[in-house]
Amino acid sequence: MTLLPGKVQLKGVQLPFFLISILTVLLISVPLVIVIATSFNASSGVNFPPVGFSLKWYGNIFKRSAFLESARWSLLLAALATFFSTMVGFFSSLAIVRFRFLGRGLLNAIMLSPLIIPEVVTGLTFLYLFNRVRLYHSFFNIFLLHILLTLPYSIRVISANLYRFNLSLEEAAMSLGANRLKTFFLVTVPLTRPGLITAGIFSFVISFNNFTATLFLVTRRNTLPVEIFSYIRTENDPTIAAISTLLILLTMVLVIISEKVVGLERFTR
Amino acid sequence: MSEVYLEKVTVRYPKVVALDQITLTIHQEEFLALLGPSGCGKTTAIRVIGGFIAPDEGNVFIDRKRVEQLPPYKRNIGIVFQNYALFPHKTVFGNIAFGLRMKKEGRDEIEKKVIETLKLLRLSGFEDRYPHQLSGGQQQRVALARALVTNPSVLLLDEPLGALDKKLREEMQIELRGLQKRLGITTVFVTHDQEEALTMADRIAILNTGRIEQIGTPSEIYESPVNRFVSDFIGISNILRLKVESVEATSIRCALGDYRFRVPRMERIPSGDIIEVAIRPEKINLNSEPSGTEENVVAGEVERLIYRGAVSLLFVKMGDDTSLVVQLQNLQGQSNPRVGERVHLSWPAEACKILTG
Repeated sequence: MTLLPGKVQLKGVQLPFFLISILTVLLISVPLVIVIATSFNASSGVNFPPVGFSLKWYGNIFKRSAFLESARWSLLLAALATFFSTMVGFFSSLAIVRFRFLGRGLLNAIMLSPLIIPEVVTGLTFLYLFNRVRLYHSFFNIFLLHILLTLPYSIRVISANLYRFNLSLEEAAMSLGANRLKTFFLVTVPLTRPGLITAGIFSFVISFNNFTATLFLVTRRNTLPVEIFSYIRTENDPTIAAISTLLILLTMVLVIISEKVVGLERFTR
Repeated sequence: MSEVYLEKVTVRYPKVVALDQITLTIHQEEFLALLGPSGCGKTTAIRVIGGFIAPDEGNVFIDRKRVEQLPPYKRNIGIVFQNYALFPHKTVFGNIAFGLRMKKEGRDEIEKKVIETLKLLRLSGFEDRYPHQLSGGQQQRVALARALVTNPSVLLLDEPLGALDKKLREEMQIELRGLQKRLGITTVFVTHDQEEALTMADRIAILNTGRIEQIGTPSEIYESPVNRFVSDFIGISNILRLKVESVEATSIRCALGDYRFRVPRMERIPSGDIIEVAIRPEKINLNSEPSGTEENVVAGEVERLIYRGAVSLLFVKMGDDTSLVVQLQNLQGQSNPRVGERVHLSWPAEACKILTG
């Protein structure tokens, strides 16, 4: 079969495609624009278009210590979960991709299962489990939960990278006198870096934003999403819009950094 | 520099025996080609020498030292892979310096050696480039530089020219061979390309299903193939199954239909009254008239003519189901016979080689 050039093929259907694209972009971006615009309201109602202009809701974030504390807590959680998820994901992927062993398929399936189990179920199960073993350390429990939730993404991304890995690169390093450890750190790790970084960013964003499953394990201290939730149950002002704007900003910075790093890596291949 | 010796090496994979009791010596400063079809075990052999596969049985010696238990990084080898396996995250300099850094050589020493090697391989000025910024031929030379800079005991080349186009490959064959001679480095070269092996190697080992079929110089392999596999694999061969009539002091008289043949006698003659004989197409003469002699002379009809530039291949049907291929030089003013024309062929007795395997 010969493929016709895109232009000829799209003739006639070009307009519907164009409209669908525009609609998709709007669906993604309009809520963001509304949230960002709302955060600059001068009034205390959640008005769009905003009434007047002020930064007082941003000020309000920093006046309420609960937000800052929960943000710090969430950041710490996300950082630790990211680190461990990426590490565990890396070594699990190495095992799954490089070795043929009994139960390899099962291990792979189990590692990826959190993707398909509803978060409500995961959260409830964790709560039940931790109660049974009388483990009431909220931070540690949520940390474990977040590793579990982020691990499938880490494994997916890193093993995709490892499947493409040319094993003769490691053999070349060994032929040049590098032992296994040196080969690992000088060849395997640097060449898996794009996968590790992408996995890290996925893990961080997922951990930092997780609400549903985390809600079950929160005790006295809230994570940021839980804090936001408890705030909007009682208050109705643009503070949340301001927080959301900051979070959008943070995520964008992360994505840009990853694009820069991973994009550059790809360029040097 | 060094000698490599494989002693009764056997490697078994789950479903197949990749190497079957291979015994092989690669002499000092020798360029040995391992040649064979895919799956013949040639790559396994080079990986055994490199230390990437441990033999199930047998011993491997490098520099008269048993190494089969040593990992690759303790063997002092240089290896070039078909895909070059250049480190994509390192510059040309970083790639070549890698082995020297592993040996913990000093900064100045490393720089000196890398620059020397760059010059040797005509890569000066490329040290800051990344592999993806180089052409295939340049990448190939970087891979070679990286393998040579550490001054290895043995250089292992795993189809290193396979990814290059024909023209560049032929240039690299000559360059690589020249370099190998100049450095006097013991080299094992894996290839499935017979011309490449004939062009470059001091000796060729023909592998098939994990065994060595024949080992010898390129001319020994080409002129005196020991068995059907070798004579089929290298170049074109006419193989005739002849009935032995009488064995004389220096030759054997045989027959095929009405034709009579004389072939040189070998020390070892296969038993039975049928022998297989190989004749190279370029050893057969084309005569327009029947010649006076009666032996090694056949007549037949031209079935097909293939023009190949410098030479033409003539397919002559000599019997019910026997065809001979004759190679003709396309000399100035020469006209080839036409399809359907009747021609007379002859060859000297020495052109016939009895196949023993």
